Amino acid sequence: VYQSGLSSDLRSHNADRKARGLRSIHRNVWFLGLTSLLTDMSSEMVVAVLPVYALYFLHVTPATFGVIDGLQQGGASLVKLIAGFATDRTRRYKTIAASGYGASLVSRLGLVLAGPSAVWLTPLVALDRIGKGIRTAPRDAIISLSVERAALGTAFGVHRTLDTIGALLGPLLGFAILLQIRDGYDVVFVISVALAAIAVAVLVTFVRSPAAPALDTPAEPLEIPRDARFTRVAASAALLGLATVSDSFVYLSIQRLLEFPIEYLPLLYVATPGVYLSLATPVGRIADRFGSARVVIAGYLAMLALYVILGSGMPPMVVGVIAVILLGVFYAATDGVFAALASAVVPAERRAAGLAAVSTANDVGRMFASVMFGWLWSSGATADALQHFQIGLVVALCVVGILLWPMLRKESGSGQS
Amino acid sequence: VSNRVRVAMFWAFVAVCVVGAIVYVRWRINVTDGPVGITVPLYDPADPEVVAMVNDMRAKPHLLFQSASAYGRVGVVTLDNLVDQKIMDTLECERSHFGKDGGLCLVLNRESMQPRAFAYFLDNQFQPLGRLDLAGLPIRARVAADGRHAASTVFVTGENYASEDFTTRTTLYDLPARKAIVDLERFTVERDGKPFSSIDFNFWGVTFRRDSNRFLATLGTGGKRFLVEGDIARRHFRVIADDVECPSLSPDERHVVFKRQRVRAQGWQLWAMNLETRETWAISEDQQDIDDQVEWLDDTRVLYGMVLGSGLPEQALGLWATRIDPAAGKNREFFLRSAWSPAVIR
Repeated sequence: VYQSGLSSDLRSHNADRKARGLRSIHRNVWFLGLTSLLTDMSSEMVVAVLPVYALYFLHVTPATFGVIDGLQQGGASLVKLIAGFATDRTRRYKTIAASGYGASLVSRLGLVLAGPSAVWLTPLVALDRIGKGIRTAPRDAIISLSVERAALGTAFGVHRTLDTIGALLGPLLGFAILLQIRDGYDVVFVISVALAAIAVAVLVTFVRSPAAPALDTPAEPLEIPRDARFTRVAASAALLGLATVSDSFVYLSIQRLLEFPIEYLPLLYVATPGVYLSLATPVGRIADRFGSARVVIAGYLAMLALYVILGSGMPPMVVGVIAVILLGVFYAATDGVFAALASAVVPAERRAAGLAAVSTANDVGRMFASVMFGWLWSSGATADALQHFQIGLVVALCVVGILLWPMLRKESGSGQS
Repeated sequence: VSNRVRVAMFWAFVAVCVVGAIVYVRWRINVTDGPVGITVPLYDPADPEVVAMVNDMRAKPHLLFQSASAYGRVGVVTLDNLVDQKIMDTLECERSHFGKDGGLCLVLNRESMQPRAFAYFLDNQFQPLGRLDLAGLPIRARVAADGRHAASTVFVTGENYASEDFTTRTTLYDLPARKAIVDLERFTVERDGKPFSSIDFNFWGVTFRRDSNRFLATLGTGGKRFLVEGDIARRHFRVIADDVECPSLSPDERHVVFKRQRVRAQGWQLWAMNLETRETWAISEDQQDIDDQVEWLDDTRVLYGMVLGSGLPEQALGLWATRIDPAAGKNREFFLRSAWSPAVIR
């Protein structure tokens, strides 16, 4: 849902180039946008019903769900780096992108064909994430090669907007289905297959593989910067990721606290992005003013507050509302802003690889976090698991405070000027 | 391929996807018949008219079962008129069983995580009188015919008996007092007159004798299944036969019908044993999807829930009857649609 990486760079681009209008946007961008809208709808409706399906319907243990959720968090990231490299080497953008979308389609088909089977769930989720990891880089490459450099911001803006619309519609659709049809997980999966299949058809039929870039811009070798400041940022990303409870587990904790019917769980997958989207721009402005390192820390303090709130004895309804808002604040304060922070320490020629490395570090951290949370939950209660993560996040914040201290200090100077 | 053909193929493909999805959704809504999927009228067990009706039905030999069409709610039907069944708006049970004066309904709280499962004690009008926590996924419930004792079994780990790595917990209850008495894991076991013990003992498939103090059950250990006879007062088991799983004792206490599963086979086969001669014979086809513990309809026939064919449980799951007479061979007869967990009250 949350586009990290290049988005903050593109946001400024976007503003500059809005004047050029949408008509200059290449048809590839629209069709890829449509592909992403349908794919995100298809994938987010499954993601939103997956916790309920896995835990309450299939009765997998929380530890197993932790592994599945970990794959959701980090699976794509691991493949993305390799796929990006392969894309640049082979330049078969459309073929690679289509195989990525196709892998996710096959994974959904598997969910339908496997029926209510806990055994197949983990490999199928893994396949979906592999597909996601494969398609991101070639898709972005097609977009960037299909438009002039000047229209790049608008093009990505259009694509990400369509993508986000799909991500919001998906959980709503999943929720509507579960509300209408009791245990209608099969219906969710069937509709998800139909959407994913149409998405692949749009890509295959309408998107043209762009001409490979001229020889004077050879593909950059995947070289990760070795600057000390960069290492500090990447280490911080990994550490903080390790202490971050995934959305699914936060929602499950809220559900267990409020004891609302599980059919309503997918709605939380819409509520948080809602808060996030409305806060992203103002928080971005705050970050520009006070420095991105501080805003990132503030975002994780919001996460810490979320853990505390979930464990507090306050009325469940209040806890639920505050928790959703805090999670939205967390994403607004960390998602694009972490990329901005990383951008500041990575030289321009290695920006892409650097940003990818930072987001991968964070995703891998989050992957292990989910596995750990599930494991802790299996051997105790959600409240115990949350308590462990609370301690973990405090420790991580202290270490990160030291790691990022130069940036936190320096920004105080620039903030006054 | 020309561009036009490609676009036409695209739209044809989209049409196939959309129509396919719509057909599936319509079929799915149709088979569950309406939003919540309950296809049968539900009777309020607290309604005085319903109480009178149920009392009339209970005056005759009757069958209590769980309705698959109503997600495990309890149904009543007299044995002389199987068409006229009444589904009560009770708790949704995973497993249930009844004696003369009420029974046990094992509930899995789907609004929460496992192991939030409960054993509810139900009175004669299916009203819950109290509940106790269960430690896992409910799989067996049994009530002695005289209603003094009851037993529940849950999977503490693992999800089915087919896998080797499962652990169960079976608890005995004093039904009138609505209290747990003891877990079977605490009983001592003797085999061929010598003490028998191992860390991996699992017990399930309790079936009570008429005196209600003694009962038969399965002891699973090291991949083997034994038929054991337990004594509640002595907290003691005696191994009485090998290769017997999930026994059920006939009302005249002369026969046991039990399940057998061949290694790596899908499903089970029903066997009968003459307790006097220890002779055993198969009474059903092999590899049947029989999860239930069987219930005796009379001294010659057993009833059990079985999934046959595919589709949703409310259609594929039904009660079947099988004669135990060795001369009848492997046989079965359809008994009641959309039902499981039968309890025959004579």
